[in-house]
Amino acid sequence: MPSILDKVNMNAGKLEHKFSCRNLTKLLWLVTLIPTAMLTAVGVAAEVKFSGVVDVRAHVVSSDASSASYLKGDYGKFRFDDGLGFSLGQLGLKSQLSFDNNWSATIVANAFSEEGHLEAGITEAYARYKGVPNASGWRWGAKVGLFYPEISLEHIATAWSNPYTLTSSALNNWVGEELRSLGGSLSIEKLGKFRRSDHDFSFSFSAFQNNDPAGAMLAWHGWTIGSRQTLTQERLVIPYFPALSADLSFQARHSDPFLELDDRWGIHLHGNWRHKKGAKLTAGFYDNHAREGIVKQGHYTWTTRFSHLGGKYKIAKNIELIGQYLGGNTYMTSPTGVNVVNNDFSTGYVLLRYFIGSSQIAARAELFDVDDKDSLPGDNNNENGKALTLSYRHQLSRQSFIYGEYNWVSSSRAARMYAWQPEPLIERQYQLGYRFYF
Amino acid sequence: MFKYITLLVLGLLVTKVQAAKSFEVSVVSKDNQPVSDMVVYLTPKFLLPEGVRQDSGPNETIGQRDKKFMPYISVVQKGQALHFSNQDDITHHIYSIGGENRFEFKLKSGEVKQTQHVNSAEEIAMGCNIHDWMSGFVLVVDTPLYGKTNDAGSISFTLPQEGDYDLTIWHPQLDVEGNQRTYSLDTESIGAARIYRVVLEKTMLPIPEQKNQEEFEFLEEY
Repeated sequence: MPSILDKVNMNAGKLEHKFSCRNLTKLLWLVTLIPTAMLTAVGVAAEVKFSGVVDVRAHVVSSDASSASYLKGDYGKFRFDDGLGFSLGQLGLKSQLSFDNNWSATIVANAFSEEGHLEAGITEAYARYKGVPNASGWRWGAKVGLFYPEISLEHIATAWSNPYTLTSSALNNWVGEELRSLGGSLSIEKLGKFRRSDHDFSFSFSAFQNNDPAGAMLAWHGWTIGSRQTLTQERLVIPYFPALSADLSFQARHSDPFLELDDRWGIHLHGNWRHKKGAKLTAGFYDNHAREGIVKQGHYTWTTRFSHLGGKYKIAKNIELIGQYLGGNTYMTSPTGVNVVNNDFSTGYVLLRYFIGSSQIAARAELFDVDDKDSLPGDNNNENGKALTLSYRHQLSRQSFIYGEYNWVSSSRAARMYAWQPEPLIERQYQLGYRFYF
Repeated sequence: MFKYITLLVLGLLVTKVQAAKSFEVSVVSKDNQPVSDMVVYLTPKFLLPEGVRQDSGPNETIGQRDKKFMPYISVVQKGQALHFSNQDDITHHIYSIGGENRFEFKLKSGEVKQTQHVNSAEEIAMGCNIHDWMSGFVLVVDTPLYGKTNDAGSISFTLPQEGDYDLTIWHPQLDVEGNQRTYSLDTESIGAARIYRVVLEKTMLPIPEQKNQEEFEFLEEY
């Protein structure tokens, strides 16, 4: 008779897929061939466009805990383990097929490596309609497929890369790790320019599925500062905590954030105001609308709701200020309705960018917090911390950039005790990076 | 002797008739600075002779360069086609809004495109659906006598005939109703200098900069 733990491990094993280099080749063929085949099949006027980014890095991470990265299931806040290493920061490839009828089809594939371990896969795949503005400047849009909820003000470049810094803020690193919408989005925009107005507005409504376990990693490894996007087939390693051998023994050892467990639709509302002179404000509300208490193959539904606010402002010609805040709650219950995990979470950052010639100096300060509201033994999710990033970017040519970056994270996380690590911890990371956009 | 005097008088008359055909309009701001790129057109209040009613000259090509409409303002006569030329290394999705002369097309890098003939005299506001900051205008006029002021704020016309005309100035940033102002004039009574001077009562609105807010080039619509 296998024990409960054995069953859980078996289930977790079944769901785990490793992605090899051979698969990367297949994937790249897929990304290249699908649009071409579609183009030939439909026989309508269309244009295929490929773009991408290559990012290679060297890093040094140091902390008193000598911990491995959260990606390996430890409590390290960075993408890389303690010590020196080289990595493929990102190899992003976007293939876009644009039809003449205002529709386009986009597939984005990404590959990342940490300490020689390469993962590659699809991160986004969607069809998009973008209407042409009418005389009053109203423009309709729609999106169907797998896409990022519009939250990040950092990830605005090719393949969801962040052109400002090598690492993302805790806020957007979480968006890249646990959030993705498989569904549809409708948007309406009002362009001011046809009415002599400097103000543009937009509003979008998205309904999505396949994001029911979102929130689990925020509970179990907390906020992180990295540069990774979860690939569609990827499973995230859950760090050890004693409740996994007790009340949470049915929980799989990996989390798959993009599962659909309750067949309910989640929603994301998003509004945006933009001023021509370089100001932007965004606000949104996300609710994955997960039904509590469903568990399938060790994966629980997490009911996750949050609001987000953001702004960009050009203080002077060569100074820009960017800031975002995100706050909400995530909880999960047992199938009998017992509250198991219940956390409030919040984070915010302020990024100041300064340009001198072809160089950019950026400084980002952030705060993050997880407030554990349940009393589950052996699963203390309380966390609070602050982080500072100093980054230098220099544009070598039109397409290539070098980066030098320093990250400092000071956090207090009770769960580190489960891994015999100090609760308050300071972690530092130094990175040198080269990026080529094409 | 009489023969020479007759010839001289005739010669002067011919010179006068030829000189009378050229006519200049000068547009200045209220602080007397020349205003360039102002569309100026003359609408005769009489029927022009056959053969000079339609401008047969080549049109200015509307280029897309550095993700901008170049020139920002164009002017054509009703019945002509618009010519576009994408000089960027990316695709543009050009459209016009409202009015009778609606068009929308994608123009790949290096491609040129001629639209169908514009058959309604009106203002055409254009944009690019990929690069929202791009903005351009075409004014379609119902007269062969049109143009834009040069850097010195002036424009010369060769009139087919002296007489009563409506002189109209137009610019998207002209801060008056309909972005235009019309003056009635008789070309025979505008003085020997043959210059009609327009002084703007109000300061022109700033021309919107056709530039992305983001400094980074490799952006996507996230």
